[in-house]
Amino acid sequence: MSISRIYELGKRSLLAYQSAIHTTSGNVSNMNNEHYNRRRVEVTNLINIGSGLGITLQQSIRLRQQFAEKQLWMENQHLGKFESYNMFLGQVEDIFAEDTAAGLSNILNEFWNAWNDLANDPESAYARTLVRDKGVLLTDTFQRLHTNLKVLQDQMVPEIQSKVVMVNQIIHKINEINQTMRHQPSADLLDQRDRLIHDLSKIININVKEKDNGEVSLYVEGLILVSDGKVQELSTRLIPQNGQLKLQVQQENGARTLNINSGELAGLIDIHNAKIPDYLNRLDELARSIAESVNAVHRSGYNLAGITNINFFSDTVSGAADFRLNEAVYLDPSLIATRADGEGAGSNSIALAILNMQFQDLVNGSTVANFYHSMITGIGNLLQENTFQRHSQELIIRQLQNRRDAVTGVSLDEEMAKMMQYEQAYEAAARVLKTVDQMVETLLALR
Amino acid sequence: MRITQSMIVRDTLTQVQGNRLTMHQIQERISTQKKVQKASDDPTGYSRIQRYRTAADQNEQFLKNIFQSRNWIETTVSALENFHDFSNMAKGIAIQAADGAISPDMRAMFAQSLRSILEESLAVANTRYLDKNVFAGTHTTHPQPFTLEAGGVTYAGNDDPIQRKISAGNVITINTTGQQIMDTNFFTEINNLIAALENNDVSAIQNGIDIMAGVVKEFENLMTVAASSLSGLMMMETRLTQTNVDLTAYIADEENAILEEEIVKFKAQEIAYQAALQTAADVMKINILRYL
Repeated sequence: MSISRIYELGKRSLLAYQSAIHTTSGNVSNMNNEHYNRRRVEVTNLINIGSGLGITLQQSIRLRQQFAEKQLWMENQHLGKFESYNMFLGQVEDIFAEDTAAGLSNILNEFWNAWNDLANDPESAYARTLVRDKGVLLTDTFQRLHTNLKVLQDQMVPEIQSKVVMVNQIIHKINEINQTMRHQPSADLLDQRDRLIHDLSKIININVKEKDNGEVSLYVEGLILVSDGKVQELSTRLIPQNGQLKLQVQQENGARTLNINSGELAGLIDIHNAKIPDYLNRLDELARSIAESVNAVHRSGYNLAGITNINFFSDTVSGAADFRLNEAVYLDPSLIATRADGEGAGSNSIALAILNMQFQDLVNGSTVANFYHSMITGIGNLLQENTFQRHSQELIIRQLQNRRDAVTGVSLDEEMAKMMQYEQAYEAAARVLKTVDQMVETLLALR
Repeated sequence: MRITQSMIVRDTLTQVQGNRLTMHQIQERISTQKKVQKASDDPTGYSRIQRYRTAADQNEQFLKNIFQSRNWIETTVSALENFHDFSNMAKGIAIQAADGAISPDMRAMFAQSLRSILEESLAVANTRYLDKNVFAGTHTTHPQPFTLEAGGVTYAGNDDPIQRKISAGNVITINTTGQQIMDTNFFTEINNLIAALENNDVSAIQNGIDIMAGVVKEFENLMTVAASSLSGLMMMETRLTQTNVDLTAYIADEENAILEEEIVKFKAQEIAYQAALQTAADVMKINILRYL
């Protein structure tokens, strides 16, 4: 064995520990990076002298906790759904503003109260004006609720579209990473890829299949998003259905419509396509029932001047959107009827029949107030349940993240200890070189 | 288990955030004094509150109706009392005039005072309450339902009831109609008595005593009916008032935050929050670097 080989050995040790410290410093600098998997230097390889050629420079190894990773991608989809549900249902509840005096239940009460006042004072012009004004307030409130729900529904379309665009961007990036991985695998690329999959899993329910070489295939409901260099983009489409626009997510070529059941998109689509239309329909039903019942009685009544066959609400109320007073009544409240044919001015039989409607099962077998309250309670119930689920989902995810980080996270203590270890080894290797140098010097002095 | 920096930071943030959220919620309950504001705060509690509130609001309507009905009926009763007095006075005049010793001039004077009673009673019959005719059926806006003409008193109102709703299933009639006044024959009999006095018809005057006694009875009956609906109204009022006191208590139970409870909760949460902050500060400070 020649003395120069010890030089070589010392040099390799120096380089190896330098690289180890490089890896350590990389870990330390990514200490707070959520999507960084820590790297480890295989120390056994470093110190294995083997054939006597010294140590080979080993690539640092990226640690993984695949089970927790996959679980996280699964659970993230649920969290995404709960979060989007929570956010938009909360807005729906805010629109109804039942915690304020502007809530429909309060306005309904005021409407019936006005009729009650008119029944107590059927001769009065003032009480008629009051009934007119409360009627306007009622119809305005219905229209406000309808408009605000519609606006929310419309605002959700670009929200959904931007999520789909995001999905398309992510799958393209993942495809690029797949290509690069084939000829140039790198730990940094894997970090980036896992981060993208993590983001994607929050938006849509994906299945991930990973090959040995690090390439991944992504599927939604059995349909390919990314696989073997192919990318299948998604697009959105609005189709009219039962008088409402439903939003569908489909493959770009339009071949298949996706049934998205998890992730933020699932929550958004369900609220856009099912929940808001349901609430709108119920408001329409309520408006129609009130208009029809009040009109039917009101038409049969007479005002003080003996005019009859007048509708209180507009003749054609098809729902909350066109819920209005009869234009004639709006302009001239004296047209409001209080009595039946042939009765005196002091008779309130018609007003009494209308105020009695608040106790009658007007809509779907329940009173107006109960019908509306059960709808509001339904929204509240859904929201509360969803908030609870979101909290427990966050807990599940936190535990999974901790389980993953237990393997892949950076511990400062550990890195510092290793750094000292490597530094000492580096120092020792340097001393070896110094010793060899002295040996050579001694040798050369032998002349 | 390896404990890493990211885990420490994540758990600390979650705890601190969780404590913050709870404190925020309690603070909101304290500042609004309400524990249920939206349906999502407590769906079952919310639906109960709404049912109570609807019932309480409806009862308020009924109480308002009862209050107005009472005033109406009280006006009616006092007018009927007047009629009762008038018929008694007429009966008294008839008794005095039936005395054989009374001169025809005297009887003519009695007739005169009966005429003024008739005029006064006509004013009472046209009594108005809140600018509405009390005794005109539903012709409440008629300028003058009772008029005195040569042939006697005519009634231009109708026999229709004026109704008020005083509970969900209960509509009552609050008026005594002018027709009922007419049916006592008060006006006819007064006129007959006047005629008998002017004609000096002693036997007709004597008849008039019994007839007027009958009219007095008629008014007593009308007053009894009105007074009994008044006492019915008062019973209903007591019941509704009590119900609303109960309902308000139920709503408060469901809806109002109990301040003492919330403050104790807040204090407990504050301690937890401070403890979390303290331990987080300590844990994050400790690492190997301090010892190298």
